[in-house]
Amino acid sequence: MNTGRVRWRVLAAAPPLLFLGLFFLWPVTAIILRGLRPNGVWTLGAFSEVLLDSSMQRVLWFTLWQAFASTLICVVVGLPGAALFARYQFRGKRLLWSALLVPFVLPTVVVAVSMLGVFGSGGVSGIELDGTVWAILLAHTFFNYAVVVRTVGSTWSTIDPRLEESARVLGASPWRVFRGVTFPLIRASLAAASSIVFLFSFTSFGIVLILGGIQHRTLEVEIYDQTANLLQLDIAAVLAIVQLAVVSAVLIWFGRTQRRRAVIFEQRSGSEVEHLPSSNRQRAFIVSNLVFMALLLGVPLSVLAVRSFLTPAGWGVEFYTSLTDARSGSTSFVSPIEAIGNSLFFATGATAIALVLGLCAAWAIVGSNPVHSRSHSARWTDTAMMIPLGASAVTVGFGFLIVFDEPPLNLRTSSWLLPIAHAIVALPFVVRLLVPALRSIDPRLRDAASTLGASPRRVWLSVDMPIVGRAVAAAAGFAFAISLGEFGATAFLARPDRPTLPIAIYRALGRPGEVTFGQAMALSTLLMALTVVVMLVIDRFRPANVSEF
Amino acid sequence: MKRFLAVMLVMASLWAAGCGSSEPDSATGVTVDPVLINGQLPVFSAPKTLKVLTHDSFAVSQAVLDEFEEATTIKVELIPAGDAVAMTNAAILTAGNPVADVIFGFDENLLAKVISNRLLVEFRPERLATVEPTYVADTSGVATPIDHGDVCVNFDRVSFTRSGIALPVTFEDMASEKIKNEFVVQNPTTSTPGLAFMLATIAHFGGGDDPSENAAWLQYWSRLKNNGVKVADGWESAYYGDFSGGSGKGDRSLVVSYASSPPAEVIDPSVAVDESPTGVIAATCYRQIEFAGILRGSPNLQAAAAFIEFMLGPSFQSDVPEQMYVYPVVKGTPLPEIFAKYTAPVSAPLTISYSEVATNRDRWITQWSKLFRS
Amino acid sequence: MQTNFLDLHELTVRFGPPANTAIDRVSFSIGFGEIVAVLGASGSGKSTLLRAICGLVALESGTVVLEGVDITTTPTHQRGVGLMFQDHALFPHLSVSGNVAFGLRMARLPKDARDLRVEEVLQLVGLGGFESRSVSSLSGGEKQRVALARSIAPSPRLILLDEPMGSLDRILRDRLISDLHDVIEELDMSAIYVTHDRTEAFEIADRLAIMEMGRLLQIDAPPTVESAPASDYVARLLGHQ
Repeated sequence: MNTGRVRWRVLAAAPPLLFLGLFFLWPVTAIILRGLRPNGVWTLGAFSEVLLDSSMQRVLWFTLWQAFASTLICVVVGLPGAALFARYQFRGKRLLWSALLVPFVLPTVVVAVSMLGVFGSGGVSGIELDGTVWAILLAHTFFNYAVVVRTVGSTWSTIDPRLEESARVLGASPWRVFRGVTFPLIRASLAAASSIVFLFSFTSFGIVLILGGIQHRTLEVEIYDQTANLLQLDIAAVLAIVQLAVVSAVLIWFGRTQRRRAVIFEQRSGSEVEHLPSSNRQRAFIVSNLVFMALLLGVPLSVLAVRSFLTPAGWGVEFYTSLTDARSGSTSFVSPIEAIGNSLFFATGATAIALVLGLCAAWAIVGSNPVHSRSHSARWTDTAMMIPLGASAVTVGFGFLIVFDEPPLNLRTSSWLLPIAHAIVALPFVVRLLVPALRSIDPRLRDAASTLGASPRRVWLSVDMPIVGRAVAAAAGFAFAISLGEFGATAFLARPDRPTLPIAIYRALGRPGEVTFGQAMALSTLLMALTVVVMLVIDRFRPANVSEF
Repeated sequence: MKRFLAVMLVMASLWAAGCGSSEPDSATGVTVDPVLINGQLPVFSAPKTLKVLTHDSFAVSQAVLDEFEEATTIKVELIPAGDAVAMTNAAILTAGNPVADVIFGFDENLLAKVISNRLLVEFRPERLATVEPTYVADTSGVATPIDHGDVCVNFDRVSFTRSGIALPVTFEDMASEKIKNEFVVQNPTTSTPGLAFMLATIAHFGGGDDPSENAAWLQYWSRLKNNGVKVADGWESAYYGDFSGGSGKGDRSLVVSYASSPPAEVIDPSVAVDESPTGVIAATCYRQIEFAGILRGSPNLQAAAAFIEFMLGPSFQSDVPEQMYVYPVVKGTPLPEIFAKYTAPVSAPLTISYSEVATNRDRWITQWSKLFRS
Repeated sequence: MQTNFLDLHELTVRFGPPANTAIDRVSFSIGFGEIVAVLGASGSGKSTLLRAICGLVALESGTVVLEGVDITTTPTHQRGVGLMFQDHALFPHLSVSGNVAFGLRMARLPKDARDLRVEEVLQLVGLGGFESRSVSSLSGGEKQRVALARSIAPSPRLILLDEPMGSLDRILRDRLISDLHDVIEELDMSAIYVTHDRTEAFEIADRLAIMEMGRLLQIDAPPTVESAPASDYVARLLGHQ
């Protein structure tokens, strides 16, 4: 690498790091310091108060083990699903692949009320899990199944099946083929997926509150309680530090396994690797996978959709038609068109921010030469991008309030806060999507371009950009979906009233009455449909040679 | 890159430290002068925008809001900021440099906190004289009562009619053998109605000054616990997920909700029905008053004061029942027909003074949590 | 009774839907130490034939008998047959020795014996000393040799070669073919060699099998096929006008 390229890489790393510094690190540090240094004097008594408190220790222990257990379950049940999508053709595959992301964008409380209809006392399944840790693990699996299936599935589908066949001919049983060949090749994407599932489960809030009953509390619930309910900022600060420390430690650990074992291999496209089932065993594998998905994802989602059509007068679309006229004279009224419009508007903003910054970050991480991409700075940038996923929304939201209160950064009530907050969440996904695409570019292409007299900028435009173009399209869609469904940060930002679809759902669910409940279900069903459409569009652009997501 | 992060961290620390030192100064309270002119809203010469910080359940008819703008030329921008507790704490965090001019929707349980954090400036609206005196809880003159509601146990009329069990009328009925596993309440640590119902039991059974686990009100809770009460995290999951009455999708026939919930369960008010499918146990009702105030540091004190007067005016007051399912505080405000028909006025709701709540709240919650986490 | 090394009887493989016959009632036998080249245009079903023999695709009907034992329903990994793909299919996460030793590990050979065998086989294919090299650093010809070493390391009695010279240039191809012939002979294996290149086929085969559209058209010694093609198609495939 020549010094010009190094300079360009540092320049490329600056915007994403500046963004995270400004919109994540600064507010979080400020709110923590407000707790620990309330009047300019350090008061660290909260540390011993929290760390020596046995109930807090129990909370931390529970948070950790349920997050690991959720991750483990998601991996175990997600791997067969990944294999299904990677290796077989079956009817409705594209649609199912898109629909997998629906749970990912639905508001927690809507899903939880649905799940109570399945696993509550008197639920349709006859099994009562409400208030147990099983309900929490089940819900985490429901929400995160797609992360494992889609991430690992895409990588798996690029592995040449002849590698597995060679192993079988060489005497490896199906299990040893998986252990000896497939697993080493999907390990990197499995680590990426696991780390995301872990972070989501570790910072789980709504699920634990609604389905876990009063016995189960996570660190995130405590932080919310101490911050938004009790305003005990010193205790909240210590808890936030503990949370960030654990998250960073786990991320570094995941990152290490991922990098040490990462293998770059020649990628195959779908048509070479997918085939129709040719034996009864394979057919049974497909069917059992589909049945599992129907039970895990289909049942709660159908409960939801069915309720949106089940009016007091029988089956009908009254809940949908009433969306446009009910309470229309009220300031709290949100027309579905307006909510969808706002959602799409914010999602576009968030996607634009996440893409620009994600491209910079990915380029800085990969550098101009993939062989050097395992450098220290690249690793740190990579890990730093993930940390916001493990932070509490209320910490960031309240942090925003106290730091952006002076011109020129008086952003506290700016409409921009929403897309910015969404972009923080979407950024790690975008980076994870773009890095492998950039890595797949043969460095000799860049060298060829350079020797022909192209400046680094021109190399980027003429060589990298066309190859990465389709990966960018895929990343755009993912960021879009995240913004469509994101609610955590949204709830804690004081902002002028431009309600998104999830907010409209919460509003409807906040009032009693058949019609408002039905409207909440109808809006959720609309959100599901919107998600499937957006994901179908994205998958059209999805390049064959991009792994991860 | 590492160095860059370090630099950012240091910068952030410096900034935050700077913010930390600009804590509330010790200036004495500001008082806003009366704004009404001959009982009418004033007209402001320069149109400006007034920001109102609200909880997420805030609602008002657009026509009513427009009326304010027409009368005063002031445009109102609403800023929802989570539930009432989160909204109030967000305001406390920004005390002195507020995100809005007016705050609406904190209740009596938050009043002590609002006062002690000097969140508001003093303003005694002229129209306070029209308010029913029992709602004027704050004597320091910063918080103006706007509406009130009652948190009560609701029952599923259909389920009780079917089973033939007599409708419950007292607290004791919920703990009776006959209605086991039928009651769902909200966690008082995470839910406003949940807290109100806990306070109701304290007001009814007494023992609020007893820090032991044998306090009279706690004994009631332990009977509830043995009778299979379920503790949900919030109103939504309790009402829709667990309650069987009206629009509820669960299988429990008793839930903590509001006195105003039954009218909302009358599916089509144009079709005459005698009763709502759900009803209220009046003896369990606990009063909630929602207040508004002018945030200290607001540059628009006069406009803010005008808006508070407006909220006590006839159009806003008569708008609150249908918009927020609460009742007006101004004497003689007419109620919409559906409220008059399907709710009975709660004649003697339970109350505890806000100063007593402020002193004991944390201990009560600790006592309660100890019982339910064991 | 059974004197043949391998008997294929009426092998039929169908893919679908829509039903599409990939190989259609193919029968032939191979003697001990014999090398049969299967020649055909792409899509003629010759690769599917190899995959059927080692059990990678399910048979619709027919039997595969190896050394007198019916292995039609035996899982692939227990058949003890070697297979070498056109584009090597080397394990990217393993070194050269890791690749070659893979089958030996599956056979649970102790480490010492394994190392010895890896060294021996690499010598045989002319790659002595390449043990610790990463496979991504190898040239095309070297990868081909490693793939060969990997498939012969567990000493299969039958080796199936699917266009093994497919991606190599002419000069390298000629050299490797004669090396390959020597190795197969030296290890006393039987082989089925699939190719679309008639020169290669003639060079290596004891007998030549011609396939078209899933059917076996002719199987004979190369001179016989040349002098008496069974049909016009065979004649055209061999370059006759």
